[in-house]
Parts: sequence; structure tokens; C-alpha cells
Amino acid sequence: MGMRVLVVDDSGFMRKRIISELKTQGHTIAGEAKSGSEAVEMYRALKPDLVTMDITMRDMDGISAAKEILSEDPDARILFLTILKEEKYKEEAEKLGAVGFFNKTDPMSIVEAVKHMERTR
Amino acid sequence: MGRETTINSRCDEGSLVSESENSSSRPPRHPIFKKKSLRKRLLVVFCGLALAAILVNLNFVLHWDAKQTQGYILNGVKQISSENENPGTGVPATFRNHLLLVLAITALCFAAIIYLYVKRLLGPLDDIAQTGIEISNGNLDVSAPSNTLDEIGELGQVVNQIAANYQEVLLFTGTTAGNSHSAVERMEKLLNRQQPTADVDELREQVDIVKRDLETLEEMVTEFRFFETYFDGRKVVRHGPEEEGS
Repeated sequence: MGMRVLVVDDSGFMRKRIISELKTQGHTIAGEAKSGSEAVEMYRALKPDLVTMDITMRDMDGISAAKEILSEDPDARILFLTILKEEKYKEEAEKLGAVGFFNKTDPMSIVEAVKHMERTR
Repeated sequence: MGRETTINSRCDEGSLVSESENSSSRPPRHPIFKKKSLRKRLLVVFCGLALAAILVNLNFVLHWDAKQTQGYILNGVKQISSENENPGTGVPATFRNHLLLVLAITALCFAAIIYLYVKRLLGPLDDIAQTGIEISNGNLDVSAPSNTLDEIGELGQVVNQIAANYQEVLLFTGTTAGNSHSAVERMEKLLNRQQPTADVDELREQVDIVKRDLETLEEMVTEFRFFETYFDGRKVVRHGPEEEGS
């Protein structure tokens, strides 16, 4: 049984890619948000099983949005998908309580991570 | 409302009530009353101007009564000649002054309304145009104003989304080129360890071509300015106090 996923990315092109990958694996797209503030709003309304979160966004960034979501729901499962390669963001994401931190240019790791989350939920 | 429509229309499941479902029970609204508040504002401004013009006309209708009009007509020639002899006196002069005053007030009102409206409309449009110029010049570290719910806000959002997509594609290209460049460098090291043969030389030439192409791609991406991040030639780094100068 697939998961209900909220996809958060300010780039429509990237959202499309992530959605296509998730749908191929049999997951349902609960919603799409193009900024951190939209993500917080939509998380409250949709309560998805998983959130894929970009970090660099023009309105509210992914780290701030994740903090807000996790402060309201500590059980929220947030997977950071970013193009940033730095370790310190990975550490920051882990400290926040995110379930993972992956590079967008590596679709296979993302697929594996989501599969793992599906098995362990 | 506009943003809600966008959010809801993107959901697969209908966990939120979609705009189309929600509006199906209501009678259809005239297009002018749908979310496009700029249209409404334009309508209000032009109705206001039309009302002002009607009020000016009403002023004449109410204050210039029939008796006075008859007086003007009957004594018109006499009064006009008297006016010619003593300019600035008599009924026609009073009437002219009254007319000039009303016209001046009306013109001032019209000018003020049009000036304020144009300033309010053209200010954000200028900002959006400037953002577009910056983006076309390769500076993606800009944002168009998008905090209003009218067409200008919508246009700003579209410009920002174009910039975000452009940035994502470029950084994706740069990162992928960086990863491939690292792989090609490892291949080059392995090749350098091989005994020189015709095949190895040919392979080395091909690796050089790929390396040069990847370097060109990386250089191209490095030339852009990105929102909150920069491309260091191999990977994407986020701007911040600790990264500056590194």
C-alpha cells in the first residue's frame, strides 16, 4: 500500500520529476506546495504520511517549514530533497527530526529511502 | 481564494474540497466578479470617474434654473455687449467663473485619481519588469513582488516560478556535470596508469574531450547568480555568513 505524499518544492519542473517518480512506485500525491508557508498550511489540512521538502525556496525555506511542522506534529515524516551537498545541512536535518536528507540528482537513493520508509511505517 | 484554487486543484485525492466541487452548488458568477480584483478595481475607478462627470452635469442642471436660462437668452445680446464694455462683471462673468471653478475641481479630482491609480498599478509592474530583465541577464537572486491576490501578484508569482525552475535546471545541470567530471578524472587517473598503446591514447583523447565539455558546462553554470546559493564549479553551496569567502 503506497503512502500519501506532500511534495514541497518551489520549482514546478522538480515537483513534476519527484511526483512522477513517486507515482511510479505506487504512492499517492496528497498535495503539492511551492513554498514553506504553503507546505505548513497543507500539512495541517492533509496530514500526509510523508513530506518531501526542498530547502532553498523563495517564500519560507524548507528548514523553517520543517521546524514549524515538527513543532505541531513531532511524528511528521519529512524527507529533505535538495541540491545542496553539504554535510552540515544533513546534520541540521537529522537534528530537526527529519527522516532523511537526499540529493535530488540521485533519484535511486530517493526511491530506496521512500521504500524503506514505507516498510518501516 | 486564488491560491486556494491552485493548491486544491493540485491534490490527487480531494482531501480538501476542490474549488470546482465547492462552486458547483452556487450559481455561476459573472467573470468580472471572479478573483481578478484588478478588474474590479478598474471597474470601480472608471465608475467613480463616470459618477464624478455625472455629478458635474447635475450641478449645472440643479443650479442653473429655467428662469435664469430664460434671462440669459432674452438679455443675451445686451449682457454680452455690457460684458464687452465692463469685462469681469454681470451674470455671464459669474457664470463663467462658476464654470471655471467646477471644471478646475473636476480636472483636479480626475488627475488625482488617475495619478494615484497609475502609480499603484505601474509601481509593481515596473518591479516585475525589472525582475524579468535581471533574470534574462542571468541574475536569479531576485524576487518579483507577489504578495497581492490580483493579476499583478499572479504575474509576480509566475516570474518567480520561472526563476525557480531556471535555477533548478541550471543547478541540476551543474551538479550532474560536477559528478561526471569527478568520475572522468578518476578514469583519467586509471588511464594514466596503463601502458601507452594506441587504444589507451585514443581513450585518453576521448576522455579529454568529455572533460573539456564538462568544464564548459560548469563554467556556464558558474556565471549565473542564484537565489541563496552559488555553484562552486562542482557543487551547490548555500550563501551564509560562514560560507562567505570560502
